Amino acid sequence: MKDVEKEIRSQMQNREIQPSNHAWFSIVEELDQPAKKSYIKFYFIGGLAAGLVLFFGVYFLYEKQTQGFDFQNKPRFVQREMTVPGKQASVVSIQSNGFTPLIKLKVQQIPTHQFVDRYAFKLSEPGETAGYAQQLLARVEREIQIEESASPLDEVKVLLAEAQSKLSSEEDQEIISQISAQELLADVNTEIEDESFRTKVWDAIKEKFNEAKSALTNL
Amino acid sequence: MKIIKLHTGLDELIKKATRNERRAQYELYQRYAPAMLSLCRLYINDIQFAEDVLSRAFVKIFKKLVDFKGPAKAFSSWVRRIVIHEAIDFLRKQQHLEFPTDDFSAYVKTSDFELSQNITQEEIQTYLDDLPEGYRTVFVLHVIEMYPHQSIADLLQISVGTSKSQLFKAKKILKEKLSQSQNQFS
Repeated sequence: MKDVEKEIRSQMQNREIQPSNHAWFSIVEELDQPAKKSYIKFYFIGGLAAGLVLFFGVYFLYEKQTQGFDFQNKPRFVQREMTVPGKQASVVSIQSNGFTPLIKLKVQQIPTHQFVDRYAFKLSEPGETAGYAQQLLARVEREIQIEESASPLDEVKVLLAEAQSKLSSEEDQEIISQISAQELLADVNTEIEDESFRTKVWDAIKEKFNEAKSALTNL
Repeated sequence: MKIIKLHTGLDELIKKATRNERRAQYELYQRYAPAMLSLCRLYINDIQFAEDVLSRAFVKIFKKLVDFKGPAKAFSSWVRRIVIHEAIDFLRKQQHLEFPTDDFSAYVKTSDFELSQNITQEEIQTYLDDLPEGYRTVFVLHVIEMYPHQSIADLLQISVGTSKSQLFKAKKILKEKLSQSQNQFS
């Protein structure tokens, strides 16, 4: 059997069978498929990357929005008072508080007391406008409270004090010290209430009436 | 000198085929496909199936060509091994490979048999085709490919004893067929 095995081996090892063309075409077809698979792989990876970018984009956007609430609570601009050489009044400058301003902001140099009234509402940021409106409202309320708390007599006193300060001569000072406001008012009232003055006025009116009447009859 | 040139040419072909150059791949295919189809045909009865197995084996060869690090002269053995594995995988998938577990010790060694006349390739193929798949596979692996029983057992995932019994039965059947054929001509 050993010889038979050797014979079979030698016969079959040297044998060749020519394959059909179909065999090669199917090989080429199979070899071309990985290129298609690589496209699929590329699209898969691309899609995955796009998905990740979208996910992180949405995530960061959400994060930014949640941070935005804190952002709104913080003042974006800070008023800083400073003195300018050659000017007595202090000026205010608006500076960014570390955030990038959404509007182009010029540094304003205006007196502090004029700032709120003149420029507060010119800022386009809704948050800032609301802030300044609140400040203004508070200021008006404060002024109303002050006005309500002050009586008219206090105001008269203040006016008298102002008038006294304007009178500078010594004689004036003596007269002011001797005459009070109440006495002067009382004098005026008595003059008005005097009967002779009234009759004088009445006689004058009556005389003028008669003149007018005679003139009319002459016509 | 011719052998050196052949191997140098083969080296170049392999390198080009590795770079997915279709012409080089075709040249390699033309050089090895006929012998490899013959090899497939030893395991698989149907020539169409054998061709399909050959195509799949060459696709695998070209895809794995990057992994081939051996010398050019080892390329033939490497290709052959891939084709054999592909053929056996095909048989496994077709569920043609069955190895009945017989007690090998029950078999008596066959007496030597000598061929009085030359036997043709077609005759050998016909006798092999008549063998059951398991017998034929072990016979081809051991007699034609000269695989030791241990390697056959590892490859087919069977025991060495099963491999020997399959070979014994294959030889016995072949001997009977060959002696009938010899008697007819004598």
